[in-house]
Amino acid sequence: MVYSVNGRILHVDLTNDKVWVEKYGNDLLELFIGSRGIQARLYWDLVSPEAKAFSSGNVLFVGSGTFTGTPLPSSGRTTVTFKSPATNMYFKASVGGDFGLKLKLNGYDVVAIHGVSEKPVYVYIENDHVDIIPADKYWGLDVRTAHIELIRKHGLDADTLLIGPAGENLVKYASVNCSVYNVAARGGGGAVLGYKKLKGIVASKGDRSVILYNPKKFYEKSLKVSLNIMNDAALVATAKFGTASATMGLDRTSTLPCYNFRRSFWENAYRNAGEYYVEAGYLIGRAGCAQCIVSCHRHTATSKYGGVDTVGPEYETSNALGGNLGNSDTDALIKMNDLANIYGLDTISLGGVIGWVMESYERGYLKDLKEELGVEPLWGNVDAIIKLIEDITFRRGTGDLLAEGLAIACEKVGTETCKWAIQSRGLEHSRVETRIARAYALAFALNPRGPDHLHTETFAEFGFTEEARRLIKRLTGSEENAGIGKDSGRPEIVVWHEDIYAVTDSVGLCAFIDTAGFAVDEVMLSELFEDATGIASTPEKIMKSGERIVTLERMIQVREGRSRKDDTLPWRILNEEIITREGKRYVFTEETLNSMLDKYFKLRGWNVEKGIPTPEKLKELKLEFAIEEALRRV
Amino acid sequence: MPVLRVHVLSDRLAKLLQCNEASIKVESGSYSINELIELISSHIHNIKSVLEKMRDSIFVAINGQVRYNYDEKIDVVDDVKIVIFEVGAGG
Repeated sequence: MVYSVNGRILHVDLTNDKVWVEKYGNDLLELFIGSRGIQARLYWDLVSPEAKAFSSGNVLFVGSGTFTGTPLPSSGRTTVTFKSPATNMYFKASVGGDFGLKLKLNGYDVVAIHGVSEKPVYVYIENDHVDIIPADKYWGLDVRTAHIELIRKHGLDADTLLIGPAGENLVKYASVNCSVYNVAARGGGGAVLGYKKLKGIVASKGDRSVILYNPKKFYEKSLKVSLNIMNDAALVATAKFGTASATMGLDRTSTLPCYNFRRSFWENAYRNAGEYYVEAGYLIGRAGCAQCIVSCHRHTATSKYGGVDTVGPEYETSNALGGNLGNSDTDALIKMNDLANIYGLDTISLGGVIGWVMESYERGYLKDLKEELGVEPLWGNVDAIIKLIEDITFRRGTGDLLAEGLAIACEKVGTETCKWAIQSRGLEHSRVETRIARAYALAFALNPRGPDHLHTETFAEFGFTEEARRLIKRLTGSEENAGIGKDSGRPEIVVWHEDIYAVTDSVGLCAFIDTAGFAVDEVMLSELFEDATGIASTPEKIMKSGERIVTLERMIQVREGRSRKDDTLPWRILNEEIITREGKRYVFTEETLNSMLDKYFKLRGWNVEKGIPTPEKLKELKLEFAIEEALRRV
Repeated sequence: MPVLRVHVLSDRLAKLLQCNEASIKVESGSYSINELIELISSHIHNIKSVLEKMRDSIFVAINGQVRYNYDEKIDVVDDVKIVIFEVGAGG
């Protein structure tokens, strides 16, 4: 008997038009906690290291968390795992909304999509009834329109996971959208579904319920977490002003990347801030994912551009398409955000690509773009940005090259331009200045996704709140290690955040409540896990599971060819200095990175020279199946 | 006379300051932000001590632009919108 999960994995084979169910038990749950961990374990077995991202051998997994469907607040996250067409490696993305909950209530913890369909299809799930249905009439529709059409067909209480035109056109940073506006944005999962000719999945309301091992204790702790959330300064701000409330904190600390990472603060930053959306009347409502009391999603509108009514922009979008491009036009930003939503595009990569276009144009490259776009791609030119979003989505003109992502585009346009292509390993850099926020720098270099925050959010390093400073003291021994521009204690900060993030993702919790705000810690997580599943747990044991997941993900990528040489950051971050508002100059050299990596690998018990987990560590973590691979690679 | 229209956006901060909104009539002229805060303190009595204590986590936006330098002069001719809020999280 399993509690809190269904113990069922739904396999869908698009090549052979087959579906089947695989059951699992507490042994897998105990080791890998839930969605992210279990999907990584499945990926190891089902996706060969030789399989290309665009091939029938790439399996895409979607699954809800172990706490999803319980009364625990902020527990509605869904994990999507696949081989990324951007990085050509294992990739996991996390997404909110209600889709994961619906999936779980239909009786499935994970859906594994195998193979490739010949024609466009979608999958419809209604409890034990699973259909692969022709989707010709939905192919080509934007996410919002397709969602409305499918909900009309299958009922208002159904929910969708969909791709938009960007995914259909194999844009390498196309997103997977749940409930329209919740986005598993990074890594090109949308393009993987596009290659499979799968428009998406529709889940009915589902007739199952989530059965907890000890509901009384679990409910009591859920109430405690709710109170913690309501008393956490950062989460209270996020509830009122959304994720874009981070903007001014980063601006003040000169960690707000602007103008393609040439500046770290900006006089117009407030126009991209969550507080400004409230002050200026753009905000018309708030929305939350399943079981969330924070409700960080923004419902915004503008009368410009023929009227736009949408969700967002989040912080990353506000900066990537705002300050990063010199754009202080909030109406235009809302329009761009909506286009990315409905076309199914990752706004971080999109902003990274357009920032590179603007800098390249300024430096004398891509001169034909003026004629092609009908406007000059100059900083802050919102018409150019909007035109580029359209051209990338539909792969028109230069947009076809830009749809391949920065790593490919810069090589084609001129190797010199790769110096200001802010990407590494094929993924465009998230929106924080890593030359100054140095736990982020180390985390980004190690992240299996690439230089990105949603794997190891080390927000505490800023020390913005009392809770954050307390955590830094606990992890490093001194509150002095909170703050920017510091190297001390960064490996320790990263190890803890990696491990707890792996647990957080796997149980379906939103990382905001334990790595941006601090309403839950490993003690609470272990108690909740035990009450939910009946599997005995301790804080040490739950964090060991986090370590197990992180180590398995590293081994998956080692098998796919990764080693320490790939633990790096974009050229600009490692080679150019950045100047703060106060005139202080920061560089983050390879030497600094290497010194942090040495310490990190030692803390992890991995081979320091190559960054590969040792056989002893793999045995300790019960990952014996990966030992042979580790030995082969060392 | 122009009016300083003060709006405390963050709930926790409003609780600390015991004020959500205030309107203060002032003479036209050039004021530093410190001087504006001095004027506001006639209505929001503890604003100076709260700003001093929480300087790094509080922001003051004047007519849609956050200002960090409190010695900076602002020309007050028409009404001025002053928005005060606390640092947030993000992702």
